[in-house]
Amino acid sequence: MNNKLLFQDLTDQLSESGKLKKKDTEEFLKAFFKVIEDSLFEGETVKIQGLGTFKLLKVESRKSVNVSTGEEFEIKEHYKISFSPDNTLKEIVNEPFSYLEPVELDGSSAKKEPVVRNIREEKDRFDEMIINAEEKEEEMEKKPDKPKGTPHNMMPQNTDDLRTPNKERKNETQQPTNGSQKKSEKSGGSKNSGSFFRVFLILIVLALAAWAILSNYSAKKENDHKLKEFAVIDADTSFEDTPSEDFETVIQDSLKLEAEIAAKVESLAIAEKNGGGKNLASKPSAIAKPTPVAATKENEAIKPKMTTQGSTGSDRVTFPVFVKLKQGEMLTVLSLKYYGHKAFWVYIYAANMDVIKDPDHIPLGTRIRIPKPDTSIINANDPDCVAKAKALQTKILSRKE
Amino acid sequence: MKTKDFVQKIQHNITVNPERSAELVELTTSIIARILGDGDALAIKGFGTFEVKKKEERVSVNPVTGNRWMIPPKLVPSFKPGTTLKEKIKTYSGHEQ
Repeated sequence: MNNKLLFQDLTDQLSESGKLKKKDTEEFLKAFFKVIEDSLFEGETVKIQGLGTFKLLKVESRKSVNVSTGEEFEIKEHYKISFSPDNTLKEIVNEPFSYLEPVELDGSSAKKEPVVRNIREEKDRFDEMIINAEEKEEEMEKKPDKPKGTPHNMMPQNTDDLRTPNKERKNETQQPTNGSQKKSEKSGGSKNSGSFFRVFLILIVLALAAWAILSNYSAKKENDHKLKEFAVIDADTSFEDTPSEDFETVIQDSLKLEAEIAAKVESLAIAEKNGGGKNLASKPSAIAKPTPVAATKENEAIKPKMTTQGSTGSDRVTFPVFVKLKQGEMLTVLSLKYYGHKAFWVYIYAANMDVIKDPDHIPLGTRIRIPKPDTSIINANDPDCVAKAKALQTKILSRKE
Repeated sequence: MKTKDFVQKIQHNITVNPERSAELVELTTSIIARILGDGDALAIKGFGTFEVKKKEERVSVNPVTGNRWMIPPKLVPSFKPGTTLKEKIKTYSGHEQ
């Protein structure tokens, strides 16, 4: 690799593979290059199979300026040699990159698309699973609670709440009351010992869930708030007619979906526990086997981030910060200062698209709002976040071209 | 001028084994291809240098549809004339056909 071979090396190789005397090979090769040269000067194009075409091209005379003196002078017409390689040679040389093919970037960028699609698919599957689990549960509820006649008061609410991440908090606050409701139902309700056992199981699980949720409550509240805030920021900066709409929606979508999935995984866990006690959820859980692994992983990935944010994120700065752009400050500098990594400037840009036309040339004194960072996408310690931001960055920059 | 004519011309220029010229031309091109394929450069004194250049990836836009394509990086063979050949070309003033 990267060696510079000389005429001598070529002669050696040729004499070896052609089984020829060195002297004769040399003579042949000299003739080889001499004929190319001579033919060119005779005005011919020389086409050699397996190598390429040599040609002399005429360059018309043109005017130019001497850079140091500013004097104008004329470049006389002259010739230059051109070599266009043969296709076979091109292929041999390009061998290391031959597996690469042009990729279409448009619509929703190729880099971003697969991620979003995956999340969306997962979400759909979760929807399905949760609905399945809930239907089963509803059936269960109906039997023991028939005398009371209030089978629906709990489940529909739950599904409603779980659908949208923004209501997650409400859902959490409601669950304890649901539990107590159930308690009263139970005390007045079924005499069937089997269903009593089931209800008892549900109660235990619900109580555990309520306890877990309550203990997480304060931290969660903050995180929800942050998630919501970011969504609001995205929503209220409306760029319907800017070309970057798709970029906006990509951010929004992935945010919402992530939050939604987090919420759903949690509810699913509860639903499965409930169902598991009744030996009924075995079907959905079997179907869901491949996804929960991925999803819980994701959930786990989000959760630790959230907790770290809870402890470290609420530091000196109160977001959103408003900054007047000073001399020498750029989005990257602000990003480094407030978010800890310069790659996250794209999110600042996204939040300020109404005032920033060109991220490379922002007028001094522009008022820039720096939204509160959501650690699931803005986390300087997470290479994934940085990579995501960089992908966005290339997208923004390539759109500018 | 095609390879055939090229081979004929070489035959006029050498004294040893002119009948093997066609075979040798083929061998020579395949050796040059192998050298370039290895990523090496080949410098022929008085003629020029064959080398491999890397073209960086780029984004190209189809002007009709407006679709943007990412063109991957690629390696292309290139030829750079040497100084003696350049000098000769400089003094060359076209050929009457």
